[in-house]
Amino acid sequence: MNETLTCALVEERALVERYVADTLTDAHGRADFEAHVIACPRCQDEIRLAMAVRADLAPLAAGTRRARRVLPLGLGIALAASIAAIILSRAAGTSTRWQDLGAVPVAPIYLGVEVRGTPVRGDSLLALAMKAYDDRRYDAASAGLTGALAAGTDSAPAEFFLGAALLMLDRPEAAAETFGRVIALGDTPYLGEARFYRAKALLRQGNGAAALSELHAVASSSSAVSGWARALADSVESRMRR
Amino acid sequence: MTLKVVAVETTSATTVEALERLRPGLQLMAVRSLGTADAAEEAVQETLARAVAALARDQLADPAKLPAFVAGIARHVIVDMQRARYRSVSLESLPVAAHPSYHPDALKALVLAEERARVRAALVSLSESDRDLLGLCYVEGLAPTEIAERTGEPAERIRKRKSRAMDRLREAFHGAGEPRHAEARLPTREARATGGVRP
Repeated sequence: MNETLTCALVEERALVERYVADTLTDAHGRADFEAHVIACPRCQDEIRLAMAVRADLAPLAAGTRRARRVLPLGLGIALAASIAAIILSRAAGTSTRWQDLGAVPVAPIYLGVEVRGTPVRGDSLLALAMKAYDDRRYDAASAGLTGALAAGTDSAPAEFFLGAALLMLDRPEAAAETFGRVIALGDTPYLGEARFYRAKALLRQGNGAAALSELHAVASSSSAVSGWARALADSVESRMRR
Repeated sequence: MTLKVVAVETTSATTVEALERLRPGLQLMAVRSLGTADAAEEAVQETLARAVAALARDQLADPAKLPAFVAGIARHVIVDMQRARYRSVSLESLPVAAHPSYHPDALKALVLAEERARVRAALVSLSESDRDLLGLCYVEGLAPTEIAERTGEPAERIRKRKSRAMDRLREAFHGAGEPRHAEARLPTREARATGGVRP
């Protein structure tokens, strides 16, 4: 603590990366980092750039990354062999065929929503639920969002983040159903992402064809995630051809 | 609003100037923690006002520590505001004017739409493996050495790949003709609303 940082040390210790990823704790010297940043225009710019990069990469930090995490080079041969055996034994099944493409290691980021003119009780419940969501307490978020919906909060954001929470809880069936309700609401700001994450949920259930249909619907739209939907659709199609 | 009105009688012009130079960084720190530009502005004002008062009482022994001193105050202010925000209060017990409301996100408050669009276009032009690498850095918050442990690729090579990729994104982020790091001003309220360029 109380170390005077330089930009070089910030870079060497990946402090901007940790800061935007919310993994920079006091133990990692968050206070020293903030003391440096408030007086350093260069690092301020780096944070803004990092936030822009993160915002675009977070929804896509899926698929192959999780698969790679399962097989780091440091694993012993015996462990690697046993994992390979499990993978091979399941390869013929439909559910595991798409698991890696359906992975969502980072939850959709909550960007805040406008409350309607006259807030209802559900809006305060939504606020509490989204605090839990931001804290990655997806069980609490899921329960809170269900309560907020029952109390009359705006359904599009609440349903969307309920779907996201269910996805993070590894409940793809419930997530797909919830995202389906968001899609059924029509042209909301959540439509594109709801299709994208419903596709993820469907992939986790082993339903590549239905996922592809959702991805094509997003890919042809002007959604912020259409580029990523096209990339994921390519991966799904490529796997279907194998 | 500047500090001048508050500080003119108790704090030297040099100190006020030094504090004002910290304003953009404080704003960034506050927006990251509080999520909205308005709440951040309130936090920055409160921080600077408290800093002026503390400096008037000679509470800072070493002037070189001013940024750390002010950042410490900012952390307290932000934590106080977060506590107040998440205190459980029934909406029915509050007047409508006091109901919590949400605002556009922190990202929008800190990064212009056109800066994001340029970064997005540059990201798409990177190879998939470079995008994956940046994901490990900025989504998972890993350092090159940690990525090296995970992937087996030499840390130095990871560092170079990341540096090359970030150079391209940085160039796109700043746009043609804009000097790097020359201005760290955050988007103005008007620019945030329109997605336009900074003045």
